[in-house]
Amino acid sequence: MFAYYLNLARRSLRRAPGLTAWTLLTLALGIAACMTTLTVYHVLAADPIPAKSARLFYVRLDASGLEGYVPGGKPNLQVTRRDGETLLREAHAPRQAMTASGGAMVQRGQDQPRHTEVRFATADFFPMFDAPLAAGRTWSAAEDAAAARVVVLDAPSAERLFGGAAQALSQVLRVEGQPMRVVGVLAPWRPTPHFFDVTSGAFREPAALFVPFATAMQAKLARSGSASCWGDAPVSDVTALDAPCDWLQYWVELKSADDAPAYTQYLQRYSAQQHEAGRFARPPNVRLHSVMDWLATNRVVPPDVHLQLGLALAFLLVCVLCSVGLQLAKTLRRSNEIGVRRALGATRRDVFAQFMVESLVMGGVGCVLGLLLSWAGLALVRAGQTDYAQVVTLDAPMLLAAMGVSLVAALLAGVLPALRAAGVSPALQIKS
Amino acid sequence: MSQFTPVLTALRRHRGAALLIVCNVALCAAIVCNALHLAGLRLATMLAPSGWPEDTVLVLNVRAEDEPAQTQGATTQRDLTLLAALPGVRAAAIGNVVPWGDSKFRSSVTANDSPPTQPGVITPVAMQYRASAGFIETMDLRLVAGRDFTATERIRQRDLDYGEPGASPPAAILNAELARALFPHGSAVGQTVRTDGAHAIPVVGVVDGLRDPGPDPTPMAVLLPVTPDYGSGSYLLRIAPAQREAVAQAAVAALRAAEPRRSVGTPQLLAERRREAERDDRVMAAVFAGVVAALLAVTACGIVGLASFWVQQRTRMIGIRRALGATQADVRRYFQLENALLTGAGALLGLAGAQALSLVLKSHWEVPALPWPYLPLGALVLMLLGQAAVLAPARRAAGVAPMTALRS
Repeated sequence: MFAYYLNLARRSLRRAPGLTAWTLLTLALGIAACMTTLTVYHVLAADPIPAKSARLFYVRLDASGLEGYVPGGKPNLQVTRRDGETLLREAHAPRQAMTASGGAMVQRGQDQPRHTEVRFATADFFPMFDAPLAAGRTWSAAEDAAAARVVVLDAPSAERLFGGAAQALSQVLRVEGQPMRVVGVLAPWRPTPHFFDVTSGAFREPAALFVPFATAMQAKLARSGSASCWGDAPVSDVTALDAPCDWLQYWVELKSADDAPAYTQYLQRYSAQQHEAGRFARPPNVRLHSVMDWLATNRVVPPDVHLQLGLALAFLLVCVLCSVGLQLAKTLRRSNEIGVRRALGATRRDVFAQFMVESLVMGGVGCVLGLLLSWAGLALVRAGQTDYAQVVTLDAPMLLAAMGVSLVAALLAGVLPALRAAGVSPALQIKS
Repeated sequence: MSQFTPVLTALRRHRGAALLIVCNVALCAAIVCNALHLAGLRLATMLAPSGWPEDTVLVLNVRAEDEPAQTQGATTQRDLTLLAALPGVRAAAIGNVVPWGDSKFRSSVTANDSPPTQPGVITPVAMQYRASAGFIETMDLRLVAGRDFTATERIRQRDLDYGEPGASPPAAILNAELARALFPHGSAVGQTVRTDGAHAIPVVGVVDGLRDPGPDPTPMAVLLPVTPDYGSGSYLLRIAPAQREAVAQAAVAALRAAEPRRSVGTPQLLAERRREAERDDRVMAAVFAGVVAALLAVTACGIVGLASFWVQQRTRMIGIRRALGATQADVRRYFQLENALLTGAGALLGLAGAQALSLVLKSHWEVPALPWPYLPLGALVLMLLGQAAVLAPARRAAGVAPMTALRS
């Protein structure tokens, strides 16, 4: 029966090509708008590290001075070097890492030095964030402590500088003039969003060169990204151990999300000690953000993207309403045909089923057309110069979603006309 | 008016389809009003005057590649003399940040005699411009009180950041907004201010301007006579718009020749930087306009479809009316009136929807409330759209011959 209805649908769609084309175009436009914005949203709102995102936590302490203090306000966005190093030493969580972005002139052999983005990090950074190694190893906590002159390269830099991951191992690079040995090379890695540091763009690539934090400090590498200082005394060096400035991201990995309250209490105790010792001017005020919470707090998905998504959904709704109108018109033209089918014994249910199958066919074709259009739409997004242009692609879940959206839209658009068709009485139509 | 009754009677028999059109129009009106408003907001930012001489200031960024920091100060001075002497350049200066630039430098500024920082007291945060002599002339700032910095009131940024502890800017010029905020009851000139840990900086002048443009703007600003080195600042050249290309080429060539161990960026007018900074606004304005166009097209399409459906369905009725003496114009008017009633009802419902949508936008995205003129505008657009869409089906209805209708 289904095959027969499919055949009928094919014939009927062919009989009114203009109307069919209009309906399909309307549906396809709605689907395309919806899928394009939904894909952008899906990519931007993605969980960058799904296996762990619920038990990786970002630490915030309220270390600022009293200026502008409001009880119950928000703690600093980043931590100071003194706090970071203390928490790291106390090692209260199974894993913890302190990190910041920086830059350095990097030289291979006698080549022209080249400005390179650097990430300062402590040893646990790599296992915590599942950074994949292609060759060699990352540095150890002991090397951290000793400010060892070792670095880890990212895949494109290893390829560019030494022709591959294996060749890069044990090579020496001059970083701001100081020799440092390559001990490891990462496999291609692009967590999206760039969750562990969102201070300068949430969709950028990770740095090209990773340097132990202590090494970076000893070599006086320049930091970048945001920093804020407080107090009345002029600050000449933000990175100094006791500078009243927050500029570091501090992350912990707990055994499970259930350990978060205990860790928060630990941070409270730490803050209270610092407050009593006179280091923190403000009373304890701490925050622990899981990965997704931290991304939401930083509004990593631009508000414009939310607006576009809302507009596209509303547009799809209007498109569905319109194609209801168009299909109603078509149904009426076919009253005679329906009358004949009814007179020959088709029940109302049969007629309804026939028209729903026709809608299904429309949905299928609309989906294909819509995907083609959204492919064009996404090409437009990528051609734009937003900072997320590079990472927006259509993936398998989105293809499935497109099919789902199309079918639901087409079926919704088909119900009213099909009901109307099922309501045609046999006698009246045959008489005329 | 006598046509009202039959129209209403007919509509009552097609409640489903009538409701469909009303919903369609209402939804469309609600979105169109808000999308137009959102597009208008973006356009307004793009068209708003910034107070900066956008078309006459050329920005040039130079990065130190290999030149040691010790000689950069002298190079900067030599560059400025060279640039000012170029034909077509009326004034030249170097500043730490430029409007529509990648970075902003904000710091809190307080009157010197105000009590030390207190909990709960929020001190004014101002943009901090550090610039060489000639900045006021280059940026076309108007002194409203006091004077420009003198030649002796000047310090190098390097000396301030890495020099003797306690080094402090010798003077400050406030913009009118900051002067008003700090000294509401008298002149700011002659007073002293505190910023960035430096105390008792005398205020020598007040200028009109220096308002930070763009999203999250900071209207207050302070100008300090602190000369940055070229590696941490941007050269600013005041030119005549017609000479833009010639000056840009000459400036790049002169800077390359003066010190080869550095990279010279492409000069840009402030206006060009503004265009780049407002790219997202432009894209979103286009998106909103596109959404409005697509919505109207789709809605028109739906109206044409349903109107055609009704014309076809009522062929018999039209025939009878024609046979009983209705003219073609009567029949056409009948469908036009029906459409006006439906789109009118839809538009009214849509206005309520537009208000509701505006409230949602306001609470979630901090969009300002929908100004009322958008409501009649949206309604009018949809009424006109409805009339335009129904024209062809109505003409077709008017063309139905009395006899054919009766025969079928």
